[in-house]
Amino acid sequence: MSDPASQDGPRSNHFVPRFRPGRIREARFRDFAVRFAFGGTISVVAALVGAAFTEPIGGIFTAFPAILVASLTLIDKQEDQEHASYDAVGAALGAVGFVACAFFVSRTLERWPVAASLGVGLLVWVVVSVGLYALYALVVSRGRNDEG
Amino acid sequence: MEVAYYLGKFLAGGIMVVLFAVVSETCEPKRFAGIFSAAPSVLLASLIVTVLLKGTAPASLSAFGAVAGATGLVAYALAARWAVDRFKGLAGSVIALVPWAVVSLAAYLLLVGRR
Repeated sequence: MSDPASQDGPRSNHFVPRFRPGRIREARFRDFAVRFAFGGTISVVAALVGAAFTEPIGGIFTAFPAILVASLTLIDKQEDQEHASYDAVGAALGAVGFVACAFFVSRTLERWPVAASLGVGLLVWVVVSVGLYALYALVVSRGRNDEG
Repeated sequence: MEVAYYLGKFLAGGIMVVLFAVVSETCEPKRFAGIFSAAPSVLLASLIVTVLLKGTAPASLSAFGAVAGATGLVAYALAARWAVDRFKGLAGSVIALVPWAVVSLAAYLLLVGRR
């Protein structure tokens, strides 16, 4: 399987994150509406499961991959399957950050001020996910240099 | 109360997911943007509403369960990478839900046993 990013040229680093706020204008309203519906629905489903069984079982569903199903499907329609599978790589790294975030929040929510617990929890997710991404980029880039 | 609770969950969940999707849309490459597909958006939205209307104790229990669900999410993403390559996008995404359920349940039982 060839890396779609390799079409950019061999010398550019394909892993460096770039932020392009202008791209938001290219996004379709429908895609955001789909995500809003998915997000809202799974949030209600998690609450209903929590009410029917126990809060922790409901909590499992707050990590239901509804958003990922939506975005992989949207990518697959708009672009190609290769891009969708690369999105899944990032998602795996983000999910490890999610585990760390949920663990942190479950330990601090009753002891810290709520805003601090949730805010630092989000920061834990960012640090772990982006840190793992940097590590992944380093390992894959080195592998490629060795091949070349 | 109950209606406000579920309506709050729907709105907060939807808004938070869209916020993360907006950030994701502005990021490149896809591998990096993918991180935002697994953002704890629904968890955080859900916790905010639970804390506001029911207090921190049930919210904390919900976050405990989310540790198990997020472990399943790692399995989901790894399985989806293979499944999306192998099958069409939607079919691949749906097939990968099986490892999510199995790993989430296993992680939950393990965590509850250790408590």
